[in-house]
Amino acid sequence: MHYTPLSYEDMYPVEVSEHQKYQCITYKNKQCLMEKLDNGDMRLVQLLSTDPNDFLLAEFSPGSIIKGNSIIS
Amino acid sequence: MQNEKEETKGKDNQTSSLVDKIQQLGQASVPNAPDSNIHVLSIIGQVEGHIQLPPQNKTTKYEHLIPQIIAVEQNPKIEGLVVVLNTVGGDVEAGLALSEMIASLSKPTVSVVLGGGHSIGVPIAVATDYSFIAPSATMTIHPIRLTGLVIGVPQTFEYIDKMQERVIQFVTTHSNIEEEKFKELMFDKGNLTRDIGTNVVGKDAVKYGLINEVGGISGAMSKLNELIDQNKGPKELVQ
Repeated sequence: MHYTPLSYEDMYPVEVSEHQKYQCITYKNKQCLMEKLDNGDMRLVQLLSTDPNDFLLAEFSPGSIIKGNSIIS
Repeated sequence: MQNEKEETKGKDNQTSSLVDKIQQLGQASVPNAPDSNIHVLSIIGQVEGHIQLPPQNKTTKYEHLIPQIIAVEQNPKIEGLVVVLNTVGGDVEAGLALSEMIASLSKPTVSVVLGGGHSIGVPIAVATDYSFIAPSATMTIHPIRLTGLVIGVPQTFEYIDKMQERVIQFVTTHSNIEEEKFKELMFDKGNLTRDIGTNVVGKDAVKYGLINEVGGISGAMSKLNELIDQNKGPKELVQ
C-alpha cells in the first residue's frame, strides 16, 4: 500500500506514442480530433465545432472511420 | 478480389441512392439545413491547460476553444452563443482565459450548467450575459489547489492567494453574488469530504446570486433570442 498526494499520471506517465495517436485535422473544412488507426485510416474522436448543425451530419458522428487517402493535411 | 467487389457494390449503392433522391425529390441534392444563427460552445470534462492530460481523459482544450470564440465574434451570421457546461474544473489560467474571452464577446451569450460546473467552471458559467442551471446540476466552490511540485515558501502561498483573488474578482463582478458570500461558500467546512468548500445545487446557486435562473435548454434559447432581439433593436431604429 502506497499513499501519495500525487496524481496517477505523475506516478505512471503516459507514453508519448499514446499522445501522438491523436491529431487535430481539418477535414472538409471542419476541425476534427482524430485517432490514427494502424491501417492508415482515421477514427473521428471529437468534432470541434460551434455550429450545432455540424453535429447532425452522419459523416461527422463520433467513431466514424475516415479513409486515410481522403485526408489532405 | 473481395475488395474490388465491395468497391463496385459501394458505387452501386451510391448511384441507387442518388436515383432514389431524384425520384423522391426531383433533384440530386437535398438542401442543407439553414445556417444556425446561434452557435454552441460546450465545455465538457476537464478544462485542459498547459499540461496535456492522458488521452483517456475527456478534456476541453483552450487552444481549440479560443479560435472558435474569435470565429463566433467575427462571423456576422452568428448572432448569439450558448455555452453548455458539464465540467469538473481544471486549469485555473485556462479557465480564466476562456471566461474573459466569453465575457468580452460583443454578441449575446447565455450559459447552461448541466450536471456540473465545478471549480473553474464557475467563472466560465457566470461569464455570459445570462446564466441558467439545471435543477439537478451542482457547482463546487472551493479554494485553488496546486498539483505537482510545490515549493514550500511563503511566496507560493502569496501566489496562490493572488490567483484565487483573480477568480473571486471575476465571479463577483460578473454575477450578483456578494464577495463575502462567495468567500464564505469557498472556505466553508463540513460540506465536502476532507476538503473545504461548498457544493451548491441548482436552486441554491440562484438563491446566492451566482446564477440567474433555474432552467434548461428551452429557457436558454428563448432568453438568447430575446437578447439577440434587444441587440438588434437600436440599429433598426436609427435606419
